[in-house]
Amino acid sequence: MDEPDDPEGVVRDRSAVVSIVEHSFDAFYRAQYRPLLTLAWSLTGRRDLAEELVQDALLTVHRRWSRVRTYDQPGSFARRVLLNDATSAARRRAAEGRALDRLEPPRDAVDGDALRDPELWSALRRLPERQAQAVTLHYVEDRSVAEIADILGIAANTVKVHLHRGRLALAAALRPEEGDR
Amino acid sequence: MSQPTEHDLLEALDRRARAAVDELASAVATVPVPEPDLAEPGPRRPFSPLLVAAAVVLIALVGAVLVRGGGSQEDGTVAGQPSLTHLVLPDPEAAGYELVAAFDGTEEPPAGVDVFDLSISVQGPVDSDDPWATGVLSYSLPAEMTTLGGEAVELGDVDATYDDDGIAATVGWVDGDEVRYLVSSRRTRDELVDLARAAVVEATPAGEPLPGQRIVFTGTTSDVFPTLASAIGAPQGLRGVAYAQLDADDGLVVATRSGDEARLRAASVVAESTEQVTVRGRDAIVARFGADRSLIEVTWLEADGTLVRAGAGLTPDTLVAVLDQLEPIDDEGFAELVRSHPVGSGVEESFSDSGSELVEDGPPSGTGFAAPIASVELQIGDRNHRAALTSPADGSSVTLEANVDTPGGSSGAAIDVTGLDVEAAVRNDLPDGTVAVAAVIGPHEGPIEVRDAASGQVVDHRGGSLATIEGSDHSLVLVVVTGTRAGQQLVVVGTAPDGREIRIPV
Repeated sequence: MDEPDDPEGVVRDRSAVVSIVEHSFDAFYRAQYRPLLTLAWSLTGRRDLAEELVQDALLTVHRRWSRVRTYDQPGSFARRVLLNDATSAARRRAAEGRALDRLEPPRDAVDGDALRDPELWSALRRLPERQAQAVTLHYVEDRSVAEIADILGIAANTVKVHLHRGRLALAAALRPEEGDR
Repeated sequence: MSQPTEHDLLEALDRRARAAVDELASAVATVPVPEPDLAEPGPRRPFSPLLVAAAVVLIALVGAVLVRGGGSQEDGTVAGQPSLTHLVLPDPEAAGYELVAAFDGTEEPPAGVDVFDLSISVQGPVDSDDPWATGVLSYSLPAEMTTLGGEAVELGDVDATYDDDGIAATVGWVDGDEVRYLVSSRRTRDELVDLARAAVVEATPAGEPLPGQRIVFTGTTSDVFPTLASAIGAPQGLRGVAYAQLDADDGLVVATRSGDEARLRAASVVAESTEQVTVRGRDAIVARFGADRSLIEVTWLEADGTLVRAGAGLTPDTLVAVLDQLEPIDDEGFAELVRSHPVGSGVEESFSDSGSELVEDGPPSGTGFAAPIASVELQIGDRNHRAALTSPADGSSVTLEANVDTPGGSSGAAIDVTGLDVEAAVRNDLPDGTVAVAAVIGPHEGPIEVRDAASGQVVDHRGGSLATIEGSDHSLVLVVVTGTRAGQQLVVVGTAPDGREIRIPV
């Protein structure tokens, strides 16, 4: 039986129709997993945490899929969930005194977890949260100001402020010492 | 050597960032995409008052927390509420803030038990001139909602614990199907345990004065927990605005409710320390919460009786300087802020189309709709609200159904739409006012709405979905409507390509 990828498509018999939502979500999941993982990895510095965050975010999307699928940009919704989850997870870890310095690869990091240029990623994660989110979306996903505003749910002008201040702070933090130049 | 310009630094940053992102993308590309793990996580850990108290000082940035918090704030208004002062920063950006949410807890009570709307009492010694000075917070929770934590203490023949998380000391004990709690930041461990033991021995009912104490205030947890935490749940009676700092991970909540002297005192009953200041020309109390006193809340009464509570992780002087910039806005202006900056389920709501609109991509095509058809089913939500259009194998008939899972199985309603080539709808009413509306609608453009048949007002809804019916120009629509009255007549409304209004009573 042909089953359309279109989430609003039609299936031909009753035995199959109950899975229509799952089928369409499945395509979304596969298309979004790696981009979301990239985002989460850059924000946490840890692949294992990033994978957990992505799974949690996609589970949230799945729960609301019948509605989220009607949005113009379901991926933006998934990103906002992910960013909020990442923020909460970071606070939770700090609050519970368990984790760790987000700026360093964890001692039990899995192979290949550490990224090149850890100084840059660490500096990015030290930015105020909104700035870090805006700058990450700008660099990692090459998002426009309007897209970042849509994802974060804030005004475009506010995004510009966060981006400008975030990039300046990042540049200053990464500026070579006098003796290094 | 000349100093690099800002432009030079940003260019260097861009190059470096893009190289790092390329390397990250390469690493991600090697990660296999796992099969979806869509199993729901286990039950959440029951909350304890200590966890709540701990959360109080750990909430730094209001914005993201509010977005993630519970509590529906759709269509908040202040209609019918006593007129109270609403205070906002007239120019948030100039003050270094961004408005992230406005909340109105004066709407209908949310379903279920909310941690910030639990009944509490504040009690002090009967023979004290100032019972507030050593006030004890007393409340109880259903046992299934909480777990005792901390060191075990002996209170008699009950399970009991004592804990001090650096914010306040808490004694908890099991009392039938409830867990009772006494919380205080101003009594010693022994004093608090002795008081709890006396309550156990004398079998003092919850809500009654503890032995040797008198009740000086009754209210809810939102009266005594700092607003910065309370605003997460938008508790009953509390309304206000939340800001995030532009340059730091800090937030500011300004909340108002009707107040009096007792409520003013209650706002700092679990504070580590208090001091007097002046804000907007009014006497105000600065309360510091947490062992490190890092969370500050300022509370005062406006001339009209409005109790204002403003919390942030700022120093008192800085906070007071910001609060002195607050200015009142009228009810209409505040209602507009609530609409434009929703809280609670804002993540989803802010992404959805307005109202109960459903928008179909592209113009419909085809001609008519009649049996036999390909079956179509739509599904929404945790309770599996479903709309189905089905045909038996021989194609002799077509049935339109609206179904929902219930604790005992499922309930549904169905109508025969065999041979139908226009529109039809069926509804399935649940006792809580939820109605699943399933409809077949012909060629249409733009949004589809569900309205109250009498008033024409768009009704509240929990979700909507739409699917085209193969080989026809008709669509199957499912809308889960909430908050209906008994016998309320609804109508599904759309617009035909020629501009004619399509109305399908249901």
